[in-house]
Amino acid sequence: MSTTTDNPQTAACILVAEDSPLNQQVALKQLERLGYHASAVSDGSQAVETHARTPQDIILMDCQMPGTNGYDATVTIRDREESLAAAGTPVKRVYIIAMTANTEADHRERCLAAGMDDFINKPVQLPELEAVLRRAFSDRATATQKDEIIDPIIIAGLRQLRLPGKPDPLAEFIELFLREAPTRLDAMSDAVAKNDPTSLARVASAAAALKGSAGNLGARQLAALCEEIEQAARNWMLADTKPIIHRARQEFERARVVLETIKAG
Amino acid sequence: MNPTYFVDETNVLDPAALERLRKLGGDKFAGDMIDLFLSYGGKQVAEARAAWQAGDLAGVAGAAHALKSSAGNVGAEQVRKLAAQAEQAAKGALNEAVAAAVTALEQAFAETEPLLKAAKAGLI
Repeated sequence: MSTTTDNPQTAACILVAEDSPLNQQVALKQLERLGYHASAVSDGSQAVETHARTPQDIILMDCQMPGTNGYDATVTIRDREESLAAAGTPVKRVYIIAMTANTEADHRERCLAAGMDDFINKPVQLPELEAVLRRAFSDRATATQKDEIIDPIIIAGLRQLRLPGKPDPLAEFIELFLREAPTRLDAMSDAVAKNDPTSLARVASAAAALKGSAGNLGARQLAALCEEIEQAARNWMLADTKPIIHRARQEFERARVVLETIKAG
Repeated sequence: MNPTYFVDETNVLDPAALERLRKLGGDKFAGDMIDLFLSYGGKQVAEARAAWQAGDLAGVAGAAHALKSSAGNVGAEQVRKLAAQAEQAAKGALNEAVAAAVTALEQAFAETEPLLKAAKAGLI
């Protein structure tokens, strides 16, 4: 059993939603031992309200509580996240861990269907709690990286352009971009390799074009790299563009993965 | 068809659970958790009985579920098992089984109480 007092995640907000005062106290003590800051509420509607008032990173949610149960509270939280995203103000998705005394498979299905992310059996034991929180943080770190590659606010804005009965324009934009970007990157590399009197102008114009389309899709880092390439080319520093073009290719590959996920779902 | 639940006196308390509580938060914390279980659990047992008398099977299932999940934390094994059986019986609307399970649950809780109090006294 390890105590993680040097845990970098200690600033995280964790909420325990559990009706039994005994289980609440034990969970809070366990989280304290693991070095986390946590608070507790005793039913689902309080969990929804607390999270709306003070956004939580993780909610440990008892499934069966009097009043609003854990499933319904999770559905409400997910609906709210979706409507905020649709309104152009996406919030960070809270990670919800079901605390459950039932281990049947259909029960797990129900948790997932409600929008929960993981499970922990009751009575909650310290090593299992530590493991489930580790999974939660690695999941959230991946989500943060994704948000840095493709800005979710831009994507949410593009999603709103969809008209009923028409094809999704976001999917079309993504397809166009995934076709266009490699040709722009190739044009830059080709111009640098040829190193002739037109090279600087060709690099600058390809970089400017890609900067624009990357920016339109929220690929901020790629757009920033294209801006660097364009500036270097305009300053007659052709050789300097080469390593930046290389980085832009790597960033494009990362953006491609995220955009394909967005397009698929 | 009418199941009878027996309190297995050899396995009323799981000392490992109390030891985990003690390691987690110290003697005082473990003692407080025992007190919390005795007051909260006692209330749930009474609620299960009252719900049964009112013909409220969902109420029996709810109280039994709450008791089941709390009992595990203090190692009240017998109560946990019987609460699980009462919950199942109530969910399945097995009236005779519910009656037997609620009675056995009361008995198990009554037997567990002095053992937990003794365990708490041993902690101090």
